[in-house]
Amino acid sequence: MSNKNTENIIKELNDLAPSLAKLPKISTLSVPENYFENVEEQILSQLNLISYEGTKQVPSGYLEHVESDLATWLTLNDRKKVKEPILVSFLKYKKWLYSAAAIFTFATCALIVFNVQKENYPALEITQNDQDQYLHYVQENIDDFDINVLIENGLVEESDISLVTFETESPEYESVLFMESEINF
Amino acid sequence: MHISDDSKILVMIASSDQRNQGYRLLVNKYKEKLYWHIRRIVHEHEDADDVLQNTFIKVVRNIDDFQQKSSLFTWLYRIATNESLNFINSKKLRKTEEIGNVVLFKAAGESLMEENKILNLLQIAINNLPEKQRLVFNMRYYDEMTYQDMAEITDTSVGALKASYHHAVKKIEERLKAQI
Repeated sequence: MSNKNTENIIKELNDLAPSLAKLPKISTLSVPENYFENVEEQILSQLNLISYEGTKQVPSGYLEHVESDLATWLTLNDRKKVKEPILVSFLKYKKWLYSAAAIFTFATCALIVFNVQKENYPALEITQNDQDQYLHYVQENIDDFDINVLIENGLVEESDISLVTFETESPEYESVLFMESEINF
Repeated sequence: MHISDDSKILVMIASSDQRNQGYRLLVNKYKEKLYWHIRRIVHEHEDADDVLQNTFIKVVRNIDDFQQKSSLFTWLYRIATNESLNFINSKKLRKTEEIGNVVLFKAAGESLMEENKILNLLQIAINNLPEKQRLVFNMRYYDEMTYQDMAEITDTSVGALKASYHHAVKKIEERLKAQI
């Protein structure tokens, strides 16, 4: 305190309370020995801890919004966690999926092609009527050259060949007898 | 007050590389003054020790908010005063008569000299003052503060402080005259 202030206080006290002004300003209160030396270190150690905590500062407004931000982040993270396995699974088996798709496409195309061909060339089902028609056709159209070829290749025997008489319906050849060879199958 | 010293301390605390040194200067300069200020309010040494440490912790935690509209000295005393009064209120230590007797007993055990007896009487008289008058008396009588500084610390007008001090001094004077 300044001397002037001290003087003012003494003068004021003398005017108000002369008995009190005469007493020495000695405190009857005591403190443990070396208290002020020890307490300084205690206080400083605490202040250093506070100072260290103070270095870990957060941006202004962070603590007000951290709760909602964290909730949003967790929500997004959960969604990602659900989606990621699906994405990884797809990528992992991508090659196999392409192969399967190619095989499926090829098989589909093959079925379509063969079905079209089947429609164009229906299966030949030989019936008894058809066999008779074939025989009839062969008998009508076979000639000596064909018979000779068949004999030469050993497909028919000469004994199987007999002469058959035909009557033509043509008026020009009416009543003319034709001698034709006939193969007896 | 050494205002330039306080400014240097604040600058040092504000800089990261000199902060610890600033704290040391701050504590070294004010520990004893604040201790006695607190001790006169809370009376017991153990309580004063706790309140003193809490005061410095509070000072450091809030020093970034200190805008230097008042001096560092009055700001520190304001925090110390508030901490002390809060402590008293929480402990319900309003029975000043009991406290005064405790102080007298301890002091009497240490010395029975006449001067000490009178000083003990003075201490009892102070402790029997109403809380606000006791606070004002201690700041003016022991700490020799100006009324302006006291007004900043207690957030009270200078006129009200003068009145409180005058009432307190008169009460103590009457008690001393009766006892001596």
